[in-house]
Amino acid sequence: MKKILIVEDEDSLRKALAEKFLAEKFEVLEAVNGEDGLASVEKNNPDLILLDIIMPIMDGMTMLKELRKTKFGKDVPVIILTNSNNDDSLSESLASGAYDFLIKSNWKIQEVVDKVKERLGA
Amino acid sequence: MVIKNEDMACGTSGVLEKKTDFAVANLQKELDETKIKLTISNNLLQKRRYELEALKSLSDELTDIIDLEQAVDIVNRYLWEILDYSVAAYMIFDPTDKVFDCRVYLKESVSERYLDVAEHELMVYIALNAQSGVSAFAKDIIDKNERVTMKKFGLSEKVDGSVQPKSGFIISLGIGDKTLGALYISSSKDNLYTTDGEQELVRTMASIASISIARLQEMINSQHSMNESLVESLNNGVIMFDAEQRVILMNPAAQKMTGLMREGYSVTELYSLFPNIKLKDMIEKSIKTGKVMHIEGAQVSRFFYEIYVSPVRDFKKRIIGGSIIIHDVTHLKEVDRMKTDFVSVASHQLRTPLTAINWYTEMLQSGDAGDLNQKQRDFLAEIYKGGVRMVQLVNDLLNVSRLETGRLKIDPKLTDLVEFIEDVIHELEVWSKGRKCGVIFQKPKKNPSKIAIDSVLMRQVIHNLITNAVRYSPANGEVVINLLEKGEKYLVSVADQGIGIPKDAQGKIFQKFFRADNARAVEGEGSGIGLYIAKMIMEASAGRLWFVSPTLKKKGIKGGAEGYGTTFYVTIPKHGMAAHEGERGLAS
Repeated sequence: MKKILIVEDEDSLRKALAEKFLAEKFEVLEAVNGEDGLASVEKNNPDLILLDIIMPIMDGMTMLKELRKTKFGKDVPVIILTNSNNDDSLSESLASGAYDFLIKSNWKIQEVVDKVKERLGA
Repeated sequence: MVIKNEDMACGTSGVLEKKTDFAVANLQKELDETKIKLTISNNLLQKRRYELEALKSLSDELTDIIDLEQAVDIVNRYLWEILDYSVAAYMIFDPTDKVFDCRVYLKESVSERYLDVAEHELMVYIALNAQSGVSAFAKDIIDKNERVTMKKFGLSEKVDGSVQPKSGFIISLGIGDKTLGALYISSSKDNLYTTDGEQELVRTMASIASISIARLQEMINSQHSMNESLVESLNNGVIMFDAEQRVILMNPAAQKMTGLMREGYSVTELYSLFPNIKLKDMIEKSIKTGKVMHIEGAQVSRFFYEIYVSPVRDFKKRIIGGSIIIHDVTHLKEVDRMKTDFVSVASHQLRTPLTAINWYTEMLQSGDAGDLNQKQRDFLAEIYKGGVRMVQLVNDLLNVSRLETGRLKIDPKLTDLVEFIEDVIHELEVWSKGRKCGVIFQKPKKNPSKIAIDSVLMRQVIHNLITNAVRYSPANGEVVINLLEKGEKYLVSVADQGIGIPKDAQGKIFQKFFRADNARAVEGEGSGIGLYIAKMIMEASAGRLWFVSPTLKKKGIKGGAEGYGTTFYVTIPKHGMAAHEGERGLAS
């Protein structure tokens, strides 16, 4: 069973993703900001991270950059899932090795699942 | 007795005859005199009528004359015809150059002395009668015994010593009630100008000239003062310069913007004020071409300006300088930035709840929360459709904001145009088939070489045109897409046989949020933003987008233009879409 970490401050969206990935037989981990997320990666070693960008305490971009500096997180696949399309964060995140950059509102939840499966080869 | 009587009778009759002869002669004389008087009156009447006509046409000719000297010339032309004179001399003060302008019209050769008399008489008259400024000049000239240059016109410019002035008069010349000069009429004949009539005629002519000039000057003055106060009170900076590029006018707004004082320096001093624009080039180009030059984005410290440079012409349409208008757009820039910030924050805020609605709806639809009956499925389908539309609207708004603020990145890459169009058609195939509409692509015979386009932006344009064409086509309709090489451009056309664009809507079709009534009736959905975005994209990238919706008139039917289809045309330069460094790509 693949382990997926959802880092998302918006409860309703995090819950929807968690429900969907559980239904798709994933093991689901949740975090509400970047700091939480980093701790969870270190502790749980997920197979993939779905990462929001705009979050309190620590945003997604900072978390991604911090993550790439760590031993435990330098290779873990990350898909950015955000609602703010800012080309700077797009290119920045891709430069930091994010697999893809998805605008939440423009993707069906099933398509998000498919994207994750595509990356994990599952 | 009888004889006597006869004698008497005869005698009486002789006396009577003599008396009668005398009476007849008297009568005849009276008659002749009356005849002569009548002829004179007739001639006078004729003359008066001629004079009146002359006065009338004089006043017509003077209607657009503003210059006193010019008016004098015209008046003299009439006097020349009407009046018997040897010399008509005008002396007028020129307030600009502060000299007397003296013209002499000669109908016959006169002596040098004759002209001296004329000059002296005029100068004395002016010294005594003109307003203080002018009369002081005249007095000065008399005191110093100076001479005025006379310009001689007329039949004879040769001086003849024997001719002396015998009769003459002087009248004043001026504008309104201001005496600026005088007119001297004289003749070498005796006893001329004795009747009031002749002097009166000349006076009338001069006063017609004076009144008409005064009226025009007053009109011009009031126009001028109106314009002046308008310019003074404008919020836009206005600077005017003459042919030597000296600043001759600078309104308070311009002084505030430039920090320079009113006038008296060269316009070149303004060049360095706006370091980021080429004001010098603008001015030179405007003067050379006679066209208005416009530039946006001139910046002085934290202020932003739009600048217009236009040539200034005189009444003969000759360019005699130019004007610079400085429009402060700082607050517009600020509002623009606020609008952009608002749109990006608002769109992010809108997207999050929309995502929740769409994702949960989708999960319900796929049975993640248990089985649903048909009615529940139908309802959810409606919710989902609404959610998707809303997302599209938010994306459109974001794109509009980016396009309008020039922040949209245009990043052209070499692309096969045929493949690209086929891709877009393929993407829409299922949808268009569902609407029972065929989409046909007529490729060029020779495959064109690759062309640099921003495929994301171009896709938005072509996608929009094809969806519109299909959407407004009748069932079993056909949309034909054509790709042609036209000189230095590629031309893509998308033709449908649909509802057409009503004539009154044709001018508004590219306006933001506009939808034609017939389009609303056929298709409830649609934000009226797609074509606006498409047009903005094409124009920002050196292309063009337009349409032809045939009017029924051409088809010989009266009424609107609906029902005969529309063809949209897009041109892309062969060297590709113009690139643009922007912050963002398209939000979709």
